[in-house]
Parts: sequence; C-alpha cells; structure tokens
Amino acid sequence: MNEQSKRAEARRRGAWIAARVASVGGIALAAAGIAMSAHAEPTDRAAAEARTRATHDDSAPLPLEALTIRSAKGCGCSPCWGPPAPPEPSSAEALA
Amino acid sequence: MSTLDLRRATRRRPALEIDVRDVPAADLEAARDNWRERMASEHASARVFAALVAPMMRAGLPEDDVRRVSEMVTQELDHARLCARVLVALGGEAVTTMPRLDDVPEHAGVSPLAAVLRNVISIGCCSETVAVALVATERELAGPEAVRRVLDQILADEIKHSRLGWRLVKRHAPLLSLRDRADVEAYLPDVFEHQLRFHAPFLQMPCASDAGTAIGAPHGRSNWTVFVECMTQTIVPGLEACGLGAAEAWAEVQRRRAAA
Repeated sequence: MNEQSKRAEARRRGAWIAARVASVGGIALAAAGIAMSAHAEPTDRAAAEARTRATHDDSAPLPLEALTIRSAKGCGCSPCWGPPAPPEPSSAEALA
Repeated sequence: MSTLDLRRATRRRPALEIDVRDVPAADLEAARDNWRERMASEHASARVFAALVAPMMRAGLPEDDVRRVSEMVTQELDHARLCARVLVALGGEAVTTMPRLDDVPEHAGVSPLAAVLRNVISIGCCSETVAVALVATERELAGPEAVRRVLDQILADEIKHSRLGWRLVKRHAPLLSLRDRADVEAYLPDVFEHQLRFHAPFLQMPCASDAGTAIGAPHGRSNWTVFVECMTQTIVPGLEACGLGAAEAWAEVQRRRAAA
C-alpha cells in the first residue's frame, strides 16, 4: 500500500469512528473501546472509496481550500480552543 | 504569558522508548513541534471543561453529566502529560510558553439551557468530534507502540468528550422552546466559522513522510481533508438530525467567506 493509500485508509477509519460517536449507535461503539477501530469495517466502502478518489489525491485541490485561503486568518493556537464569542445582539433585541 | 513546565512530571514517569533513527530531521522537528503544541493545547483545554460546570448546574442538568464534565478537566491535564512524555522521548524538552487564554463565553441574555447547549455544541459536537476523527486517523498511521498507546488513551477520552456533547444535544435540542432554539441556532455560524479559522493552519503545514507521521509529524493536507469531511459528513448532518438548522448555518459561513 503506498503512502497516499495508507493515509486515505486511515482517514476513512478516523471518519467512521467520529461518525459513529456522533450517531446514536456511537454510544455502544465508544463503550466497546478503540479496539474496534482496527477491526470493524465501514458499511459503505464504495462511497468511501469514491470520496477517496475525489478528494484524497495529494495533487488535487482540497475542499473549501480556496475560500479559506482567500479570507481566513487562521490562528490554530491553543487559546482559540473553546467556544467563540457569541454574536452581538441586534439593536432590536438589545432594546427588547 | 505563563510557562507550562512539565519536566518534573515527566521525570516521575518511566521514559517512553521511540526509535527515531529512520525519521528525516525535518519530520522529527515537526513531530516535536506538534507534540509540544498539543501539550499546551491539551493543558489549556482543561479550563474550557472547568468553565462548563457552573453553567450546567445553573441549567439543572443531571449530576452524572456534571460529574463527567468535571472528570474531563483532569483527563485533559493528563493528556498534556502524555504529550510531554512523547515529546521528551523524541528528544524535546517538556516546557513551553502558554498562549493567551481566552474566556469561555457565558452567553448572557440567553437561557441557562441555551447557554450550555451553545458551548456544548462548540466543544463536544464540533471540536471534540473533529479531534476524534483526527486522532483516530493519526492512530492508524502511528508506528512505535509507545506513540500508539498514547494516542489510544487520548482517543478514548476524546470519544467520551464528544459523546457527552452529542448526548446532551440529542436529549435537549428537540424539546427547546422556540426562543431557545433561535438562540442556539443564531450561534451556529460563529461556531462553524471558528472551526474553519482554527483548522485553517493545516493548509500551511508541511506534509510529513510516512516515517514522520508515524511519530506524530503532521500531514497538513490530510488533516484538512479529515476536518472538512468530519464537518460536512458528520457534524452538520448530526446537528440537523437533532432538529437544528446546521446546514443553513454552514451555508451562511461559506457565503460570508465568499463575500469577504
């Protein structure tokens, strides 16, 4: 397996674990521990492989990359880990 | 700025053994940087869980959930020490400058329940779910047993943190009053914008070799892909399934960025 394929396979498993945690069934999966990550098979392999071809080629453009590069001033620093400041209330809401 | 010094804590534990002879120098340096930054990030995130406790009590959430969140404070501090041990095993020093620590928002003007759900969506459903996807991916690529064991422990806890967020949202979101639902949904574009901003540095990160990613050096393109897929295929649909207008909020963020 080449480097790109290994990374794509690792991403597929990582995405699958996150999806299961976020789903109702994820509660059972998480309780069963991480060992499942190495053995359980995603149910929609064909769809995952299609996404792999579309987005995991190291020379292909990345999703949302253009929007982000154009307008983001990413910090990626730890103080930003946590909820952002809430939206300012509109003037009508503030007066209510 | 304060200093996070985990040298003493690291010395009290057995040294981890990680063979780095086949790792290119640049990748080894990138791995050290990554574990050092992660050490600070894990340590700093403890304050976020600590700040959830009082609002959860105010909102009358069950004692079991409050207790779980209080345990997460210690888990995050433990993760920082684990990262420090890997950093030292890679030849680094377990000390770094802590960055600015922003306050966790209290969301004055919304109900106690809406305030908790706003933060829980940001922390549990978004940040921790993305962390699960990223750490699980990294764990699949990890080489040395010591690195794999550390990632196993971190991943097991991140799963708990994410799961608590989804459980709270699933339990409470469908029953929200119209006003509370509107207050929670009004926050979603800011949460998503924050996620994009926080993870955007992946796009500027180098892409480590296999030997590098095996010890924790980042692969920026791969990490970015994990993040975008997790947002679009798991988090936004998951929040929609809880009855929240997440798809519209995600679209709003993209419209904002396109117009910027």
